[in-house]
Amino acid sequence: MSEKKMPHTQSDTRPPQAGRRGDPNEIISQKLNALFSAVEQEGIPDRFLTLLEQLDEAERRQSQQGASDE
Amino acid sequence: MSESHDPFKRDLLAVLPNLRAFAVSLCGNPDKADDLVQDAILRAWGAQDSFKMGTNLRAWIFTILRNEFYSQMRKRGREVQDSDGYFTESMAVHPAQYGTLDLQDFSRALTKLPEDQREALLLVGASGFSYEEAAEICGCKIGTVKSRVSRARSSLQEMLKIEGESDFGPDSASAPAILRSFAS
Repeated sequence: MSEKKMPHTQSDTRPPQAGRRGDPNEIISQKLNALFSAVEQEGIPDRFLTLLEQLDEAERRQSQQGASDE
Repeated sequence: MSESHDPFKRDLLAVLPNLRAFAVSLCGNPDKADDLVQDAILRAWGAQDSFKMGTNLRAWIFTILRNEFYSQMRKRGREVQDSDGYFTESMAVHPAQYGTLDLQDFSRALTKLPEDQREALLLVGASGFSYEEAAEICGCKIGTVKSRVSRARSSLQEMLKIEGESDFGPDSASAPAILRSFAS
């Protein structure tokens, strides 16, 4: 996950002038990161937290049942 | 919410925000994206026995989500894509929260790229996967990922008219020549 902070590690596909200020690839990387942060900052919607709780719960019940059957 | 003692669930939760950002950027529609994330969670949960703890859960669940994206697209017979992008809807609700109009244009341009290029660019350029990981996720060769990323970048530059020099004036090589032509 830390790799996205280091766009320069992808320099092998860049044109020779890449890396200077105002580099088009740099601008695109910044916009991509801005787009992702905007969504990430919303946090995890409740529906997913609830879903995972329910899945967890169902699994627990099932394993308890399995244990009592033996 | 209680602290999860289940490492699988804990790791899944840690991946979710970035996975969701990927889904939103991939399908350009927040509602469809969340349905996709939900399907991916359900599939991953059902298949967790086949996942080896300690291997790359992140790459694994991204693979599940992108496969789900393509299979839904095939099922729908490539219905007309919603190319409004993410920010048109959200901007109206949270204008202050979501930066600039600039980002709105970017999000819309992104949805105009072919899916395979968009996916490659998002995986490598925003989710921080290596070319190798991205190739595994997309089920293609590393060289293919590289060329898709590079084509995606060129198309975006064209669509958004991003030119390195335009932001900072003429480059240092041509500036003296321009000055000279004014002087004479």
